[in-house]
Amino acid sequence: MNERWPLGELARESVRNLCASRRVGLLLMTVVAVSVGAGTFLDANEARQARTQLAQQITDGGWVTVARGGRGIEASACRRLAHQHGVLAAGGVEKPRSVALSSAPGTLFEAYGATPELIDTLLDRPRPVADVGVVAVGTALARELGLVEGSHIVVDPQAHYAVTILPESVRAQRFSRALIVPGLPHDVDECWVEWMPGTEDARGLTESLLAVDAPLNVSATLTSGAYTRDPRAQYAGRWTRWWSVAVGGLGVLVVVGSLRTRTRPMALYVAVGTARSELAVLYGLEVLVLALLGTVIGVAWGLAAVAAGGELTPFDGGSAMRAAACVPAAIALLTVLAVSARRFDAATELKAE
Amino acid sequence: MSLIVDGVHHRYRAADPPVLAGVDLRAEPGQAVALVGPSGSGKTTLLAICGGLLVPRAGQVTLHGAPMARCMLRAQVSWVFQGTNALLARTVLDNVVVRGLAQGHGRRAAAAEGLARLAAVGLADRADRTAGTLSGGELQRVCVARALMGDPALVCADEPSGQLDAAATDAVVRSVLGSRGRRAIVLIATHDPRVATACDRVVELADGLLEAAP
Repeated sequence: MNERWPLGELARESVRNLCASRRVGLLLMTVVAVSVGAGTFLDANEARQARTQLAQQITDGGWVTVARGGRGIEASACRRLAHQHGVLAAGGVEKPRSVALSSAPGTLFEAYGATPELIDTLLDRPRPVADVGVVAVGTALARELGLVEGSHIVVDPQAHYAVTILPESVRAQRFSRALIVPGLPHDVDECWVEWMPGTEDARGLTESLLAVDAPLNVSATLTSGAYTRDPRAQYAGRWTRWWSVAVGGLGVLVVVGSLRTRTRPMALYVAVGTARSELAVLYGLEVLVLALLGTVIGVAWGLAAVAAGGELTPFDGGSAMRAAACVPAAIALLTVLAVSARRFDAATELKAE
Repeated sequence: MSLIVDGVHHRYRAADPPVLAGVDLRAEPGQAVALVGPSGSGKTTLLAICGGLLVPRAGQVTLHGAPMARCMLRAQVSWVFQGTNALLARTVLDNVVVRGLAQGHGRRAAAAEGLARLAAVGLADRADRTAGTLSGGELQRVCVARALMGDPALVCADEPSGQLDAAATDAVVRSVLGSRGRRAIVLIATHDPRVATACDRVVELADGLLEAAP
């Protein structure tokens, strides 16, 4: 006899306790199922939207309108368009000027001052983030100067920038031999607006939304196969990817709360000779089973809800299911730690009230 | 071979007054000792220290020559508490078997011994009932049956008759004291004079010190 709980018996004891304490078990399972279900739904729905948008972009192409004002356009009015329904990005650009680069002394280059969001309307990926500002360089100029993505340049000796290279797309053609230097101008010469695929009358919308006093000249819309937003990149950066952490935290709160009401049975196990590590495994297993059941139910209803709104592919539910798989493990592990860390006087706990 | 409590001091927090202020006690195998004293005198604390559930601030407890350690609870020390300290949603047999499992026995062996222990306290026919459906007296006999699993060397009973009527008290005390026949040392903390007089020796706790009761 090794005077330890046989592991199989410990597991069976957990299951028996699970069956015996249905109310607390049901509460935990419900919390996990509802939360995991909601998280799965949000995540899978977002994945499906990204996938659908990507497919639409591939088949439909996108639209950019360029508005020019006779006496300029207020930069803030242009930037505000980015918050309008159907707009993917909006930014303003000034008239070109000549600048010198420290890497090519004695030569002047064409540079456009612009609001940072203008670069969004030209890139087919999210704008990179750098400690210094990010300057966009046209492909031809980049080749000429030997610049690559992430290079550093100094414009007009004082200003340091990281370089992002513009794609070789229809819309970026005009800036092929120029730099776009971000800044916060008060007025801009043009306002560039990138619209969601399928937007009708982008030109009319640009005119009405921009609503400036001076007459506007909205140019013919440009079509382009290259999009500012990559739905896959946007999906990868989504906030809902943290839902599993929130659910795990919620589950742990319920478990730890319920353990506080179960100190008497815990003390009883200690009094019959159960070691603290065995007690932790006993309760950890119980919680693991509940959290697993809750997760399976939650994933099932979350995916079912998404599927009810249209076709569902493995891509849509994949991320949600991977995140859900971590939830029971995290709850069980934290329960084991909580029980292990719990100190109580069994004799006092078991004394009648 | 005995239980020896040597100069045990205890207080729950450093700022608290001492609950035990130098307690000495010796009990021999097959002997039942009743701990009496007013509420709050430290009976439960002394019992918890003797039974290894609590570590004293000073002094030591030895059982059969070995310092009392937590691991002794598994086989050598068992407990009967006041009130319904059972897993109420589980069966009567499960409540008894749990001690056998904690000692490392398989379910089958533990269940066989559990049924024998339940028969000894007259509850064999209730083995499959849910513990919560039993009366207080019956439940306490279940706790006694559990405590006697594995023939412990030391049985600690804290107010085992606290909520029972006279008939149930007799049955419980008879069962607990029956373990003396297997050379167990029995320590019972009690307020009940009938329980105390059934023991071989009565000691009284007062002001954190132990003295022989009159």
